[in-house]
Amino acid sequence: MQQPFEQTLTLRLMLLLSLFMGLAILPHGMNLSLPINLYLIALFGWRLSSLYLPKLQPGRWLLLLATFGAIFLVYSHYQTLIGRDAGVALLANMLLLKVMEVKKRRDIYVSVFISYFVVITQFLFSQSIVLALYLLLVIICLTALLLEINRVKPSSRLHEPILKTLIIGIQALPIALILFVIFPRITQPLWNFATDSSAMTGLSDRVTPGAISQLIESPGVAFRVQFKHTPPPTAQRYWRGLVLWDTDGYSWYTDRSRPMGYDAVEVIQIGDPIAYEVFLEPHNKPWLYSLDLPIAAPTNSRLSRDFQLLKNRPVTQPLHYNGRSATNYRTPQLPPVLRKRALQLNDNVTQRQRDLVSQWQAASLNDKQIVDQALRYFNTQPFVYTLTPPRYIENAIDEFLFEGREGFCEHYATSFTQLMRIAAIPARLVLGYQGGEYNTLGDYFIVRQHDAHAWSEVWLEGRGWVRIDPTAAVAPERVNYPIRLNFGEEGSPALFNIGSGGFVGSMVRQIAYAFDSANVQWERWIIGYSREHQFSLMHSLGFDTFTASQWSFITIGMIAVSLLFVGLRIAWQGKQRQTRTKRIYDRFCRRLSRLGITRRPYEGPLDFAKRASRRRPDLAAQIMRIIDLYIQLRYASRRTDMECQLFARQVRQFRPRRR
Amino acid sequence: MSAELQKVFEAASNILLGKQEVVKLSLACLLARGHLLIEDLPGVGKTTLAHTLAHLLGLHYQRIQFTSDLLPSDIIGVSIYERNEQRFQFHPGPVFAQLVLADEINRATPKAQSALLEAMEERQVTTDGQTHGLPEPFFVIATQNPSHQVGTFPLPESQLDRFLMRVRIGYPERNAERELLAGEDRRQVLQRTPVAMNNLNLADYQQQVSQVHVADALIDYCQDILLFSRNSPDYRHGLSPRAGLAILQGARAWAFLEGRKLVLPEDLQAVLPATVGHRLQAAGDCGGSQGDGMVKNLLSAVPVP
Repeated sequence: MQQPFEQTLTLRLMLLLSLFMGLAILPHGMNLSLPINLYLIALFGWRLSSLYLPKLQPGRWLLLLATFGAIFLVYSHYQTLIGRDAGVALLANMLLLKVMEVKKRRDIYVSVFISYFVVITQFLFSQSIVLALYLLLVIICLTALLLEINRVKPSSRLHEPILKTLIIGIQALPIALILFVIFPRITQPLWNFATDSSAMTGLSDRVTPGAISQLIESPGVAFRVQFKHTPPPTAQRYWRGLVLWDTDGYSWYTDRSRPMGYDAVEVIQIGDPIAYEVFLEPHNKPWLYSLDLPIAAPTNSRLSRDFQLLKNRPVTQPLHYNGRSATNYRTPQLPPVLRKRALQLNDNVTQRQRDLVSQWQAASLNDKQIVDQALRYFNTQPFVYTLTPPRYIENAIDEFLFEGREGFCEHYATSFTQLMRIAAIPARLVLGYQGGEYNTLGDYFIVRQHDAHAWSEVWLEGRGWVRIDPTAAVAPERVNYPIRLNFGEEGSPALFNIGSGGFVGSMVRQIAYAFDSANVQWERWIIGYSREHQFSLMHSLGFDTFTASQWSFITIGMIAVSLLFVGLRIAWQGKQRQTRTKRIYDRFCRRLSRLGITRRPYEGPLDFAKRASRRRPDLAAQIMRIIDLYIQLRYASRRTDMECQLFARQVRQFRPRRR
Repeated sequence: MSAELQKVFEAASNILLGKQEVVKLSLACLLARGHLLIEDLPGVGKTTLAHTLAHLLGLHYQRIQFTSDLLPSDIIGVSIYERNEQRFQFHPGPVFAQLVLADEINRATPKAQSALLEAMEERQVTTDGQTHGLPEPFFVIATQNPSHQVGTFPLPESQLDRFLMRVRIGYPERNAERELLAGEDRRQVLQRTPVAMNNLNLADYQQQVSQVHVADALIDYCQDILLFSRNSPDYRHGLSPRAGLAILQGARAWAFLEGRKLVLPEDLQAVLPATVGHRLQAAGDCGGSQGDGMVKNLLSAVPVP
């Protein structure tokens, strides 16, 4: 039965409801599998068409059947009904089925609240700023709808419910902010149980020929860096990731059974260290990237003996850390074990290579000159830097050095490292990124996957480990300029490069930079606001007497108590103001009563005031002023706090004397 | 009070000498869209009051003299067969007027009374299966003799309830009566007096009356009065919710006449005798002496919250 003062559920209202539910579910299309998406689309289409063709409105049994169909579909697809993916799939289905049977206002409430929940589940899959903005819009729509159905008459204009929603939202904002800051956080996100590692791109801990050239086609962001002071020039921006010592002749890796250890290594730095902040995208690997050469480990990570920054767990969440590096440095003596490891060779060393190295050795006095000879060799011989090198099948390094001579950074780095080892110079391979694109708006560098790079380090007497980039000897532009150039004529990577010149190009780039910058701030301040940040904030505010878990209980308790208080306050507010006005009025009556003018219980304020004024004409003006205020406060439709205060003050000041 | 209403009020007081209170209550009753019952002895000016109001407000006016042989069709109208057109033609009765004066309503039989009372409640008339709307505005001012007089059929409680207010005129004061006796005929004065108000404005005033604010505190007061009447052993029946609505509506109109946009307890007290006097009966009483005295008791017993 329809209640009085209730809008009927018009077609327009139902259409909006169905549409908003659809919008709430929409982003899940990317997260759910095809059959479930198709089922959802079918349900949605059914809902829309049954609005216009009431004949299509399903009966109870058909609806039950559709429900079982949804459950069966989800179960057969995920083999379970719980967990993130199956749960969300089920929830989305149930929401659409619920919308299907909306008949009463109560059903709309239920649907809207389920939709809020569906909106929240979107964040289990992605926490990007774009999604957040989209969901904010959806929430505004849903709330406006909720407001609209609670009106006695439909709003005459569209902006009325939306404006009201925005006002409510703005009123709720301070509470949301406070809760955001103080509400206890869980260290590990609850829902991170299903991280899809294959979806994350990045360097792997094993270099095989062609591994990096795959990455080079990806514009995905590896990390972003903001320097505290002047950034180093492009040629010095080598981002060190991991160090590879061992080779099986085909690929390079680091043998896990021979860990490097984390003994502190003393680095002699020349010049001031460079400080910077890194915002690392999750890459599902335990190492961090730092400017070559890191001299201090950020919190929760360690600096290994070969200058890799390592965490205990793979990085699956965006990570923010501070780094400190030296660009001009000297490393100390090499222990014999490591020297031996940095010299080991595989059986893929051919006579041609040995001959080449002995030529260099013959023409050199020391290791440094051998290195120079090698670089000169790469420079003067017809080596080509290309993204699409020929496949070297038998002995990759040998074929590359003497036959193909076309290669990418990993070819140069691996073959150079091997040649150095033949020359008895300790050498190792370093993987990381080089360069980075400067975001002028955000004042930081974006390092993308296509900046991936490999280079060598050789150990020279008196200087320690020295970074040698043989690729730079072949194609200096790779190092000196940001990677925006087209490599070689044939088989250029299919990157959509907007010309750097021209108004449109620069506009587009500015917009891209602005968006990237906003994203960084979002990651840094909203997503990245972790329990550590929270705790350090509490610490700096002086709440450092509690442990984290105690603090959690305290905040939850405080929130519960304040919610209770607010609820009671809202319930009693109207009453309270009434009684307060009445109390003050009673005080006024008592004061008059001392003069012998007693209000009779049935006497209204105006009658009483008139009678009192007749008895004491000298007080008449004062009495009438007070009574006017009292009438305004007690009997008028609108009353202000100011009037209430004025009334209280006037009664306080009303101290008549007897005659 | 607006200038127009002030003019009505002054002109009416000039006709009905020394009875400002009654005139004002009657005006309030009309502004509150209620029907008015005037109860008093013959000759104190009941008909004059009704006639005066109708004239001053510029309403279309019909008078029905109720007698014991009055039939419903005398009030509502009758369908007569028209030979020429070969069908029944409805001839509206005197009830089709903006202001109907039902004189000496308790002299007619209950059958005739109820015909009028139906029309008052529904604001429409149904006869021979056809419904005819009554004009807008539609007021009934009924007069009745005190029920202990000979030849009366007292109105039952349920029908008394349909009147928003019941007022009593009472004998005039000595000075007022002297002026009446010495001066010229009041009817001639009335005929000379111009219409004081454009009747189109009446609906506007009624609209404004319904917008006068009734605060929670005042509703509390009204409810206290209702509850007291129900719990007190002095009354035969407690006041109904409709009585409560009548009290508030009357108080709104009174406050409006006082020139306020909000209702005070004083306004409620002013209209209370008129609005509940005919709805209350003393516990020991078996009819008749419904009185203002009981309302006075009610007023003094319930404190203003």
